[in-house]
Amino acid sequence: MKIRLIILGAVASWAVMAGLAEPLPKADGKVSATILPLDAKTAKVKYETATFGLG
Amino acid sequence: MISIDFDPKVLKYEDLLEIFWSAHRCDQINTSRQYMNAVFFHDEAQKKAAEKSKAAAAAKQGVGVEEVQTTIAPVGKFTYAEGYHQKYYLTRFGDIRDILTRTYKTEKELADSTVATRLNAYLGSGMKRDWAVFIKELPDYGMPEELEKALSKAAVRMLDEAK
Repeated sequence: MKIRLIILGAVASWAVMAGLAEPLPKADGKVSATILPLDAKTAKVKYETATFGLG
Repeated sequence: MISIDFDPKVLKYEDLLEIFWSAHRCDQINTSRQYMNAVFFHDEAQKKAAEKSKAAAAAKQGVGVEEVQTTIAPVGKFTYAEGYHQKYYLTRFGDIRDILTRTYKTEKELADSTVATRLNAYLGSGMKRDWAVFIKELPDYGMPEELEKALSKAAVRMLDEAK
């Protein structure tokens, strides 16, 4: 019974944390903005992603 | 860190690498991770292109390949910067920035917007851009009328500043 409660508690905590955590955006070559016509048009393009660091 | 989504039919990865190398001294030591000069590759092809471009950049900058401090490493988790870092040049144009902020639902959408990116590039580079092309492009953006008006005003301001 005690073990079942612990497992249930852990699952519930994980579910709450997962729900609260904001999904992190990924650099996946997809443009998400689609509000303006040009955005909607470019959102259909299959982009590649390049990532750089510049000091 | 900057993440660029590009259309490979229009622009090659190698072109971006060339711009990247020309924007910094490759023998400059990276003092902190936050400001390090680095190519973060996404796949094997990008890795090979980056390594190839490193040798070319070293030769162009007159340093040996072994002196190059710029890092070439696999890309990790990319996290968007805070809203006030996004589309930085637009912050000089408060009225335009305000309209864009109202237009997009989230900061991420604004950061991801092609329209906002183009406006940032145009307004940030001042007279280096061809404003005649900009004026021609405007109707294609499909922007709200108030934004188009504000942009026309900004374009005139830029032209006046250049005089």
